[in-house]
Amino acid sequence: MEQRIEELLEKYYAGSTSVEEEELLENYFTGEANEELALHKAQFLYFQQKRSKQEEFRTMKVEELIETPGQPVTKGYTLTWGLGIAASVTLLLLGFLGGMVLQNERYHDANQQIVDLKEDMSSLREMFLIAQLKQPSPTERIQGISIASNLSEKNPQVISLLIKVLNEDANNNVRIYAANVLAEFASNEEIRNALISSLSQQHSLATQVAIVNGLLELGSQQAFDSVQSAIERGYLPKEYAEQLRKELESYKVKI
Amino acid sequence: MKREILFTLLIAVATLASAQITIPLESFNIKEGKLIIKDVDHYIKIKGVDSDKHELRVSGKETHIPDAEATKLKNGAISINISTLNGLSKNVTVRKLDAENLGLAVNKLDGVIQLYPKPELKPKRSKSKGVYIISYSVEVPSGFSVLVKASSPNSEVEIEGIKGEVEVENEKAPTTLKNIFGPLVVSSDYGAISIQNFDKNCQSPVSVTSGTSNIQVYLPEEINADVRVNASKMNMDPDITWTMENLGSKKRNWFKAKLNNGGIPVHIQTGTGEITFRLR
Repeated sequence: MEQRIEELLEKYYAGSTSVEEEELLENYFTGEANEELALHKAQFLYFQQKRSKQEEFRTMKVEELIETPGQPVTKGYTLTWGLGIAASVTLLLLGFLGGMVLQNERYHDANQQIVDLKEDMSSLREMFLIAQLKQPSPTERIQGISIASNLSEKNPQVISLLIKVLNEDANNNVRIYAANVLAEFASNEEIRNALISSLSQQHSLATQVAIVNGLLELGSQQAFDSVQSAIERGYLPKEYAEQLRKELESYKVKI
Repeated sequence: MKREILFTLLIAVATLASAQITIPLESFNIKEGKLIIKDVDHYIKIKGVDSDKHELRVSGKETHIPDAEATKLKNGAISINISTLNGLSKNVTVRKLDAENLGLAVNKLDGVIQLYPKPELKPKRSKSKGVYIISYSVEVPSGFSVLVKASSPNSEVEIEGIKGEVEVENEKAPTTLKNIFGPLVVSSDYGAISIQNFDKNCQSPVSVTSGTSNIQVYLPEEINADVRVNASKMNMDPDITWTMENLGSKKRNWFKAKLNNGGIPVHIQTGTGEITFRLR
């Protein structure tokens, strides 16, 4: 059972579990979880509580909305024929508009719920990433970054964490993993600049080459210019810079 | 292969001094212990040993090749001009090793053993004629984790049979890994990397990167792996059956595929070198 749960956890943090699998995980962690897996328990309890609160909120709001459009109809008036038609049309319009509002609100609620769930997933991944990056084993830290690669570029906290890893991690391969993920978002000027300035901080040629290749992979003029500026500023070892200059000449033609 | 023959020849012809120490490891948990070797400037071989004995054995050898001309190759290997090897026995000079007769200092910390060479014992090459080579061999319980960091072109590293995590950063010299069981994180700037006898039952992630050097990986046919490769030049055994996968946004120089049903993550990346996959 534990092995199955561990497999599901990996899938869960990678964001690829089905609804049934997530239910299985929740049921497991709300029961007697194995001690070794207990650190995940808090996350699932938090997640479940938050979801039940959202459910209460959603139900309450829908009930209120159902009551609101009905209120004008309950008032009694003595109506003339013409006024009766006008009132009927008005009622019909009110009903129609009320229905639309209700439907929109329901739709909005459902969307909001999905957004909230996504945010929860995202924050769980962030928590997992932060926990993994503190591990002494480089293999574990690399796993953390693999999870981060599923996060969007709009998550500034993860991006700044990855930049920190790129500049400070003790292991070359962990830094290279961070560079690979960041390079995917390097169409963003801020991230591109962070990658370029990181070149001057790297002691390993392997990491520098990974950053440069990641930027050139974008195939854009901006990326090309960034690499050119890194060469001009002397961020790269001479031999590699020379080799790169020649490579960039051929890029000029392609861009 | 040529380099291996050459190295064997050198050891056979001109070993000057050798010594061995055994360090008892009673206080170590052999599954959680860690061996750290830093700043090594010599050939070093680390071998994992399945044994009930909780001990670490270190042996050192010093080899002098007089009148030989050595040329350092780009990948950190040393090439000796064979024609100058005649008459080796005439100019043999024995240099003294330190008190431990190894030229290594040994530190035992909590769960960690650190070995590092003493600077005064680094081989002289510039002034004296000929070439000095010091090589070390370390036997460690196979459950240990190993960390090696080296930046010298002489620090060729060979690691075999370790079941714990293996982490190597060898900037300029070749690295060879054999019988891999545990997680593997290896990087190099200029030194070639060779992964041999990759165990088919290996269940741990593998990450190998280099700046400009070549990487060679021998894979067992039965291995279940998710392979991600980044290189401008790749050379693959035609008998390997890859199940190609969608690359997503990454395209240039990336290759992503499953071996058999997929499984352990294997990431191999080189900047300007070549990656070769061979079936074991």
